[in-house]
Amino acid sequence: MELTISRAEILAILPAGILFITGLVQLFSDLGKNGDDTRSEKTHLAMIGGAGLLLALAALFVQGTAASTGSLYAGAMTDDLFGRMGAGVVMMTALFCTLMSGGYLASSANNRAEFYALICFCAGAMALLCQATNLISVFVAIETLSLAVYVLAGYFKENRSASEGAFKYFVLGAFSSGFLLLGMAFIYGTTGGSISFSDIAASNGQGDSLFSIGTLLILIGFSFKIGAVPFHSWVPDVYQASPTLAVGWMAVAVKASSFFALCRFLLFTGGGQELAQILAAISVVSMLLGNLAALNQRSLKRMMAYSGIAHTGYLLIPLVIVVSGEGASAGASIPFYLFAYAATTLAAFGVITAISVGTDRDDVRDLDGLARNRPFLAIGLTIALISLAGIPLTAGFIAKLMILQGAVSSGFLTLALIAIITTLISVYYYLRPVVAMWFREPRSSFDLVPAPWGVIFTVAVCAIATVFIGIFPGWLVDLSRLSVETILG
Amino acid sequence: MSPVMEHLFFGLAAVVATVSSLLVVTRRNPIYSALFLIVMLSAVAVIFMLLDAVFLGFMQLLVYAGAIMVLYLFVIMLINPRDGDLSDEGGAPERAFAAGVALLIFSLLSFAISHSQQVEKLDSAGSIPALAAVPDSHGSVASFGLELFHNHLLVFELTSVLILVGIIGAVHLAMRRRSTSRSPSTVGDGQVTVDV
Repeated sequence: MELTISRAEILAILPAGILFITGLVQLFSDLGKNGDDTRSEKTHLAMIGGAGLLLALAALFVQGTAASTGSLYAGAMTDDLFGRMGAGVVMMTALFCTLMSGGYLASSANNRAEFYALICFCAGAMALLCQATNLISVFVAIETLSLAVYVLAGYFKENRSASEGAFKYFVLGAFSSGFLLLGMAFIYGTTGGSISFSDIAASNGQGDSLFSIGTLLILIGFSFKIGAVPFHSWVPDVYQASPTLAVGWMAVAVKASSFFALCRFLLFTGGGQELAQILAAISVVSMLLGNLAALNQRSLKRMMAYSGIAHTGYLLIPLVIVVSGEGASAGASIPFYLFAYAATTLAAFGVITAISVGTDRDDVRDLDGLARNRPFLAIGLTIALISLAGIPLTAGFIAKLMILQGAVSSGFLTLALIAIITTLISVYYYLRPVVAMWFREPRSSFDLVPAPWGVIFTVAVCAIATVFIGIFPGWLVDLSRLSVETILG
Repeated sequence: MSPVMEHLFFGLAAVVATVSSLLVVTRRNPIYSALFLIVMLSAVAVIFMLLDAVFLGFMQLLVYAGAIMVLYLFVIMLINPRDGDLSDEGGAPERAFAAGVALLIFSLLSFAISHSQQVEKLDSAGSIPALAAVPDSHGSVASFGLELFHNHLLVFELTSVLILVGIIGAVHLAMRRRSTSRSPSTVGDGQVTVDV
């Protein structure tokens, strides 16, 4: 037996491989430099990270919409458009987080290569998770990214509440990994020892009750990661306690990559009516609880946490349709929604980062009169919030529209109705900061430090992308449709 | 080994593993917990060996029951927790809730197992089915390595990233820097101590 690696296999792991090497280069470039310059911006780290991420994105774009390569590494992964889109979302998010880190960390006296390197390692693992096609590679990728995120959440170890939040996240995350692994073991057992998604789909164990329990347990494991009710209890606490930048990373990248992996898994395994009903229940409860609990949050990070739970609920609607077998094409709204959500949420977290730099505050009242002091940040946050609320001319509107269209055309009217009602509720809490920014007097007691250049760049690009996707959604819709169509072929 | 003996050993190892893992979570003294964890890991090693995975069984003994547990015991002894350091976990309502959830999961799993066609198929083979023959190379170092590097190459490499992330995280979180309280004269020495 000879060990051979094909060209396609090298190309498939190239983006992730570049990111792992970038992380190592960052760590080595920072050796011996931890003397007294932890308060500097350390632009070289952001530069290395940015260069590595751009290179990885280039490696991804070279593949473009090329046809799926089929299974690589003995069924461990594949290189198709769906996976590339997931990797694309994750890497762009990593790029913006890296650009923002320099200015953000310099204010905390904790500016070291670990933060940048962990984001790169995490992004590499997420890119592989989006392309993983067997249970073991899914699990190892999830563990790698989770471990990095636990450390990022507790990165400011001098901060007691951050350490507590990170520990809570760690314990619950380990617990959820247990569910994931148990579910995988049941599926392995009932399908005669298959681990790759296509083998599982082809096996005759699908109707077995243990198979359903296995799928359910995997779903529970993923629900922890994406923050769906009733496995959401860690989300608000961890979001509030963690560094703002790590929260932005968690909110976008962890959720996006988990959804890509879950969507691929469910497209292969199906699951049947019972599972669809459980998923629909989780979706409804997430939408209701997320939006209602967000109504009276004073902390912006907590509000974004509950808003994230609500958006998880919306994102589960297409998965319900996929699982019930009513139409796999409904899955097309997932890549689109995640792209729109990434741009929007990054713009919002960019502004929250700008406000919390140096002050570590994130109260809604701190936004009073922001439009007069920092009109640029106010415009960015306004665009982000109206996109999250799903108001027309923004990416969030088109994303919600796609989900509602899919739900109505597949006959899931109740789900669509609840999504519409909860969206209307959400307008209240999304517009409250907008009103505060534009119509209230600035508070003299609160001084903003100038926003770091990386944050300004991120807010500008993400806000423009949000509006651009909202006005010209066609290309992204086509890309999303194509990606889901090719996933099974 | 005859099938009967094999099932006997499996039953023994399974009972020991289950009981000792229960003891791990119920002991108040962490040293006892760690010792019972060694017993549990050894029992699992026995199960591996009964499945003809000899190499895996010995790795389980050497790495987990041996090396890692020694590290565990060292850390526990270095921290040296006193009885009062470990408070009770929640009151009666929390315990009742936890028991309820555990019962729910247990009943769900037992329902699924009792209704599974796969399990039924195994049952129909008799109470002590004949063991499937495995090739001589099964579970050997060579076949284990071939399986690892042919079918799980990607995961094997990804695991190295996983461990690297773990090391970076542990060093970052455990490192105590002097920078927070040092005097200007020591600026730049960059010395760090690791706080276990």
